[in-house]
Amino acid sequence: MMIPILKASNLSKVFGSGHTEVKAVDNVSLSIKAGELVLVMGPSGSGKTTLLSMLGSLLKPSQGNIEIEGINVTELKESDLPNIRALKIGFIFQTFNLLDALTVEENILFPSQLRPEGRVGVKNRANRLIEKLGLAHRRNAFPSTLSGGEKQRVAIARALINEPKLILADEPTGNLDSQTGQEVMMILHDIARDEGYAVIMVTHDPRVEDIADRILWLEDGQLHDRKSEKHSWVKDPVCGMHVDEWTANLVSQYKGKKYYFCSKRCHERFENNQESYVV
Amino acid sequence: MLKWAWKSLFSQKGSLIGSAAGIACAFILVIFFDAVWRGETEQIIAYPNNVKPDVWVMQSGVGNMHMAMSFVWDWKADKIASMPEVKNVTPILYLNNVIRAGDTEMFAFIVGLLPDAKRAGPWAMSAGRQIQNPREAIIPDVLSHITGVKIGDTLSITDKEFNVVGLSKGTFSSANSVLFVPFSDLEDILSSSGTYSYLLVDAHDNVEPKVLASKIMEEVEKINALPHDDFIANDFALARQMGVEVIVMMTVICSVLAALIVGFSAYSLVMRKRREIAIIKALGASNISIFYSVMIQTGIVTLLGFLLAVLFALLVVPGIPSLVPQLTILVSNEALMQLGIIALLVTILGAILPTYLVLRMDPATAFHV
Amino acid sequence: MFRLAWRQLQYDKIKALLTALAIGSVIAVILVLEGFEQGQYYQLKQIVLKRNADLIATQSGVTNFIAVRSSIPQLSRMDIEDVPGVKEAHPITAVPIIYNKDNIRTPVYVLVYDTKGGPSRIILGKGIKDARDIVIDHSLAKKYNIKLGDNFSVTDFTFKVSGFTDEAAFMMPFAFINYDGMLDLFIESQIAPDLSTFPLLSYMLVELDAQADRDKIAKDIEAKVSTVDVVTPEQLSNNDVSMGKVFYKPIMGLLVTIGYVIGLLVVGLIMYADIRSRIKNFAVLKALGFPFKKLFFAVLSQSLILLLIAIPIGIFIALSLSVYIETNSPVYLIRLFEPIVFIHTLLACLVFSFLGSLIPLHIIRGSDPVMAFQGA
Repeated sequence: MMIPILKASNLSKVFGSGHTEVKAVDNVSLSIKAGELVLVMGPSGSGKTTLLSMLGSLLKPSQGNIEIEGINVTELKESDLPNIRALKIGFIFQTFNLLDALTVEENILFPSQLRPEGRVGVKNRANRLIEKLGLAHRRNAFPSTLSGGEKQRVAIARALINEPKLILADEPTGNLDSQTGQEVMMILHDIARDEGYAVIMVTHDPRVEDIADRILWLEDGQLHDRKSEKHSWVKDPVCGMHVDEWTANLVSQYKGKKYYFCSKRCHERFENNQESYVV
Repeated sequence: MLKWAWKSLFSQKGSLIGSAAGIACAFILVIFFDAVWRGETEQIIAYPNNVKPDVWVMQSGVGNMHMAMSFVWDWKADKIASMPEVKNVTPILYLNNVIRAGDTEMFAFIVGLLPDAKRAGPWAMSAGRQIQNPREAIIPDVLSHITGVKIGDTLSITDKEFNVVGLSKGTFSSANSVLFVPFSDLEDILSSSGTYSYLLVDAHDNVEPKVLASKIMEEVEKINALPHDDFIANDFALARQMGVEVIVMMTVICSVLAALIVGFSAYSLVMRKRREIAIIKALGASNISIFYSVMIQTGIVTLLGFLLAVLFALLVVPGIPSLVPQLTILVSNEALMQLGIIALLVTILGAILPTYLVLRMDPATAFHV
Repeated sequence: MFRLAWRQLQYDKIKALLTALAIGSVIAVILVLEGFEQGQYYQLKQIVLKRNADLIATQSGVTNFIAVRSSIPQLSRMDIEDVPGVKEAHPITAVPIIYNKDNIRTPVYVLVYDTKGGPSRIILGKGIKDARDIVIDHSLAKKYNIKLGDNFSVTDFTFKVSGFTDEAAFMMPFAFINYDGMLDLFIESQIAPDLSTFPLLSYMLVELDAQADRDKIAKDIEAKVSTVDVVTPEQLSNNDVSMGKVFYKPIMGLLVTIGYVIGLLVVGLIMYADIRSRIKNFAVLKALGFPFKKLFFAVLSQSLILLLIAIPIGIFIALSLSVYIETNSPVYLIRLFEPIVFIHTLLACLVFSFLGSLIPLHIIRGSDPVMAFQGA
């Protein structure tokens, strides 16, 4: 049986204590195998980033275990975690987080200094990644001169340089236009399918759902099953806009029926004069 | 714009405090150099300033005491003493020499006092008594503290040994410690006789020192007579010019350092906020209003640095002599006011580069991610 | 990480330059202060050595040349010259005066000489040929705009400037006259009521025969002339330097120490401000798996590189300042490159740079890698 690349069991994270206590992640378990692309979706404030931070060994869970390639990282000392992050995990951020002072190639190569075997063979790998991600002509450019899509491709190459088995991507298309976002998605899809990486992606982008192997729905810190693979579009009774029943935060119940709102403004208007919006 | 300048400056308090502290450091250096130099200068003239006769009489061509050598024949003192305007004349012998106290050899000014001298001796004692016998000396209390030579111990001037019988207050300075010994002993060291160094002349109550000084000059040839104020002014001017070039250069370089730190912090702020500045420009703000904002920000940073430095100067600097008793430090209002002017210049200098960058900034940057 | 530090500085050249200039200024302050102090010691040492004697006789108990009163019997020249091994004895007298022109006063150390011990170098004009001739240090000439042939009044006697030399010590310019000049000065100014009671000799510069035993002759002279001590010029100059150290060290030491403290704070605060502005970078690096020691190394590398850039800048500023000071006030000598002190200063700068880079470390330690997920 294939060992999962990542296995999280009963993960919880509590911030604060007493009456200020907030349970950001509540008893979440998941596992992901090599070659899988898993989406973590959910409304704002549902705990997606907290979950990702814990999975990436950036944040210690209040409870539960995380195993990466069979290593229980929750039992490791704080001083051992950088090594796990450097060699077992590749990070891709919404804001790219490239080092402005370094060129494209230097940014990609930068984490390779953390490999125990040094930089042997890394240069070739960087070249392959640069070629593959279409960055050859931008090899010596600085991040400030790159487009958003190019920046994200550099960030992907950087995440892959140390050949980690697990890629954690936080809203990788959040700062990109539709077409560029699509390209980045396909790159992530390909590295999972063709190269066997396990990719966990936090996103709001509904287009990604089609290429994902699994979709995890996080709400109020807990993972839920989705009722449907598709969106459930309903109409905001105030402005008439389409709202996804699953992602909408603002909900009111009136005369036994649920109403979903696109914004606080619409929600308040509805609350002030419900009768006038219900036909 | 003003509000933005203010808020963006205070949005990163750590950087603001860091920059202000850096500027304060440079200003503290300026204050410190000045305070040490000023303190020493004041202390160099402490002796003539405190004995304060109405008129000083000395060798012709000599007009002060610090580093000077003066000889006045003894009969000239008698002649001056016999003048009706003169209440009394106190002659002193005065010599700059190296003294040996304990294991330390140091430069000192030695005053030889006649046995019946009513004035010209130490004006404040912290311990011991006045000189009564030959080969007795009064030394500054700080010198005693530094060298470990106490009352009852001996110190030597050339090959003569002196018994320390008293410790005087306010007579120490690194450049000019004042020691008191009997007149005859100093005469012995100088191998001189029949001559004094300075005459301290006191006038009768109704006589103007200036008038008396002129009269003495008229009646006694080959001497110089100066009212106390003129004499002190000469001494102060002479003491003040020692090392002044070095102090001035140090002040200049520390001011440049402060300007660089102001420039650094303003530049960092502008670079950090370049997108916001571009947005403000895109929203239609004029270059002049942005220029004012940068000036206000550098002004605030410099002002904070200046206030920190002044606070340090007033609270900490005066305590330094208790750690280093050799030092006399004087933080003057004049120096702080000068620093205020320097701070203004520093603000302008420090704002030049960031302002230039802001003016060049393309409003289109606002649309970049 | 060294590359990152280097590239970081390259990336923002203006900031790097401002920082290096600021650190360079602090280094320059320290170098000039140290150089000033060393210059003082050098001048104190040279003023004795330049008298070019094999031995120097002083008043018994007098161990210094500068800023002291030494008086030896007027007839001791013959007694000293009678000692076997002594080739010649050259009297020298030190007379401190305050030169006053247009109410601007300057202390001047006048050295009176006879057959030897005069100005070591005439940089303009000629030496002393006449009782009225005086050779003055060029700093004095510059300060008062004195030209060759100008009058130079000391109390009531007027000399004529015949030449310029470059001798100064203890922040005082030197001047040279001969004994005829000194007698004229004393008599004209009624300095001494009776010349026989007035000390005319301060030191005797003793010239020895070739191959003579210096120590033995020194003892022989002391045995023959009981009122004098005989020392080597090196001893006398070392004593002057020691006295100079007692005079300068407390002040200069404190100023230099304060300079170092300020330097440390400047480096620290600049690094602090810089690191605060790049805190997200450090959070990202942490997220990417860079351990704290690597990040510390990056900061250390950055301050080290800055220091390496700042040192030549500091030396250049210090050199410019010292040239300015020496040109405008030649009485001061700024010896920046005294090897031991220079190396010591640079090493101390290295230490303060290291300590300064420790100041912002807590920011890096405290930076949360989760910040990497936050927006720009």
